[in-house]
Amino acid sequence: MIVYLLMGLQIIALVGFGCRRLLRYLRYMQQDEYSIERFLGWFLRTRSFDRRATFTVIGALCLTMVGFQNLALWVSGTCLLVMAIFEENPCRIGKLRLNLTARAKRILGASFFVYVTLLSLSLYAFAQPITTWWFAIIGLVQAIPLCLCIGCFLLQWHEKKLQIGFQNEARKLLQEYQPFIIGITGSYGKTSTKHALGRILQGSLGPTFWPSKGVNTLMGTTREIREFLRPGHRLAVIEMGAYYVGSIRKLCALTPPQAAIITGIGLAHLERYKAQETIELAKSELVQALPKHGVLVCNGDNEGARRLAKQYKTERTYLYGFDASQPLDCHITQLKIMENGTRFKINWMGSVYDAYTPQYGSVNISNLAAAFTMAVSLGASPDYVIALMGSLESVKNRLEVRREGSVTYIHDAYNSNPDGFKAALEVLRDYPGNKRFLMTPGMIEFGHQQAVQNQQLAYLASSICSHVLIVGSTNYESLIKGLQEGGFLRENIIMCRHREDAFLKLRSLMQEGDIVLIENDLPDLYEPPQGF
Amino acid sequence: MTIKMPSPTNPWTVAVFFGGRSVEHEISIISALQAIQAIDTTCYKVHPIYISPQGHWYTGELLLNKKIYCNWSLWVDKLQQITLLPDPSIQGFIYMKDGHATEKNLHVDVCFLVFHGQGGEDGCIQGLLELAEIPYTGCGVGASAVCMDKYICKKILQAHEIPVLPCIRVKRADARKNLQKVHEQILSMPGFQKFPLFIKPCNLGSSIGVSKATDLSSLSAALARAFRYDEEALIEPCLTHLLEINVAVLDGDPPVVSVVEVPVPGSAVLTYEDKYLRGGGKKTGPCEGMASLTRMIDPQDLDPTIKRQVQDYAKTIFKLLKASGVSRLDFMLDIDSGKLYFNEINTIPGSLAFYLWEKTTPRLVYTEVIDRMLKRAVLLRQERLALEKEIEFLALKTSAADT
Repeated sequence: MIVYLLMGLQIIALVGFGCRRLLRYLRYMQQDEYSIERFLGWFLRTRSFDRRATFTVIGALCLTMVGFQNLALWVSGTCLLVMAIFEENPCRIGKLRLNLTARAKRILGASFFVYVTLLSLSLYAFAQPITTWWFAIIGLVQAIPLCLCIGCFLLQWHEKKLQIGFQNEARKLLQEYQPFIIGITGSYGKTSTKHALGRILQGSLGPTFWPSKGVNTLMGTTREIREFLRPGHRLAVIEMGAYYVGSIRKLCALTPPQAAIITGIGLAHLERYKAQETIELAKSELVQALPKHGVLVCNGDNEGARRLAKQYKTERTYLYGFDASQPLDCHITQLKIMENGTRFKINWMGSVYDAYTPQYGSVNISNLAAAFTMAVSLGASPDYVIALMGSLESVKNRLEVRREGSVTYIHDAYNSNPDGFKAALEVLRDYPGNKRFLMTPGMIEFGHQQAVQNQQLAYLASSICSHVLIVGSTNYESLIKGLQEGGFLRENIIMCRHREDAFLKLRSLMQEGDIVLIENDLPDLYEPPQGF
Repeated sequence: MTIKMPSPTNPWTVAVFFGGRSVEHEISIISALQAIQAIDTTCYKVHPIYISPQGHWYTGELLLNKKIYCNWSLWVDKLQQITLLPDPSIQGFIYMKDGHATEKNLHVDVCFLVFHGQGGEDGCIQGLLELAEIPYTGCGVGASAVCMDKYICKKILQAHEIPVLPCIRVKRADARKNLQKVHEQILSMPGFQKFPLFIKPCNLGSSIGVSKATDLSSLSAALARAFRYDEEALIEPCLTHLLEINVAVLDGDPPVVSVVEVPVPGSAVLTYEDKYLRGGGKKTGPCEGMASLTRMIDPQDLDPTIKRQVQDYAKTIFKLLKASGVSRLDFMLDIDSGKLYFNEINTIPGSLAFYLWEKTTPRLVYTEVIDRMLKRAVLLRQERLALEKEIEFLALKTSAADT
């Protein structure tokens, strides 16, 4: 009788533990956009195998072998139950928390079903010598990530069907309301340009729709259109992220652009594309989707963007930028960083406009120039667009300057490309203040170029910063190498395990008038796993 | 007919209305939750009615939890959707299911309006409630609309010899067409030739979209900022040395006026952050909305004559504009000239200015202020119901007879 009661405890504990653990793994899968392949890649790279439950069961196995079978069942059942209760809640913890969307709930349900099925099958092992049971349990807890993958796989067709339905709904809305669509792509600056252009068009030409935050995928855009596009929207600004060749083509099929902005083609996501030519090919899908009379605005400072402007020239193609060694339609000059923003001049069609923005950094000014060129070419008054630039706040965590007490923080946590990093270092250099701190984990997703790029920027940082706090070990070696090449003192390099650790160390070092640049914040997927 | 007053044996059903499609949405949530906590639950049965930023109406106990608003998508399914039809026979709200009206109604005795800004404080909701013939707190349609439009409000008061600063109104459509011309229009007006100037949206509160222009470039940016929130912007000359003095008035027979307060801004301009995010100087702790502003209530070193002058003006303005409920009136004292100017009136002020009534003699606690407002709302509705709305079909009958 006691054995059956203890067995009941085991089952309850295993059901609870499995459910909580599935939820935790689901957070990482969600951040990998429900890609089984990428999730398994993360799982193997970070070795996020279960340890706690497995060690408990091994302990129980040892107890059984020395003859304490009931005690083993009781101890392991209780421990698993306690672990289930105190397992980290991914909806409340983490930089990017688990968002329990309808899809996430479906995947959780399906994988839980798979897990419970495996648990039921394991019960056969109980009839065998008891040691078999313990091995079956070890296998079961280790199989939890696989259950999640199977659950996700089983729902793939259903999800696909749902997604097509949602896309058709969004397409119908677009056909009904007929907004003028402007697509934005590039390796960097897409989100900032989207927000700036959205606000500028809304202020100068009329109601404008633009997806929130950094939404730039097919399904993200579909969802935003279904929820927020209204009949009055005359214009729509769509950010188009390229994750593989063909992804922008799909977005263009949903939101056919009549105008496009190419912010620049760089090395971002090189890890996925393998070669820079492939990145350019993927970005070119937006330009190819433009009609002949469409408006094309490209970053003249960027070689790739300039190439696309030449290759796919439309009736109205414009180039913007700082470097006037080649012809530019919108030329930015005399950029000056001040305590409350940046002043600069815009040369457009033979006229010079004095401009001011509360934003910082040459990359942000370049994005504003893209927005200016597009808005003016669509009929907005240049004077009013300049006025609107002066009323734009910084986009959160994108070279955003915040004063906290007597210390100034430059938050650039979303940036992870060499140009953005360089521009942020320039702001750190030019902003009035005393000691200059850099806190960064370096940049990621640059494939074989990652070490070189991080090393080069660390070298640049060595001439600007007084202290550098390196977060995590992802780019530790290349950052150290770059700093040492620049003759940076070893004692001013501070190694931090994670972001919170870096903030703690930073607080003990900072004094009145100091400036801190927080450059890049790696997603949870790049953080060391927190005890599974 | 006498009104049966609320009591533990006869509690009134109160719908506390908040949220709305306004940039002051979150301030409305804070004010409403404060008010709900203060309502005397022995005499009133409270139903929160929340209008989401997308314009959907919800009710449910969960709305009393401040945390749900920041993670709205996780909670929205657990709430009941509701709507209001302008049909006087319903005398309440209708529950919705899957976007359609159900047969289930929520009868209410009175609506307690805690909106701030456009759509809720400007007469829109008031108009709907008028059509539905449901009593509601605060100003009526006309007074709400007039008090919301800073320009019209000032012009009316100016005509009644209330001192106000000169002001100009400019339109967004004109600025979009020719910004230089708008600059010239502003700078050619007497009293507006010199910077700094103050620019604010004509129909908004909480200091949102307000900025100080110190040169032509910042004037352009300030206008663009104001035009993000309103189609009209108000321009005023900027007083170099000024003291803001606020006071509240509670409707009654006669209206009651509170002690004055002097807000302490963190910078030259009283900002949204000063009003709602500074937490009264506390770095931590829950945000208490307008109640968290650093302020001096009834400052002892302020000349009693000025205090009295502010209170007298407030009472006069409240009556002139036909305001009801609780209003907070903001004045500016030009320290250099000693002149007092009316600045603006908030017909549904942040935190309903309860912090002023607690320091007024005789002291009024928040519960009592709300109690008076609710009773007054029902009384005023009764008065309006006594007005005749129908006469016989005379014109139609005559023309029918002719044919």
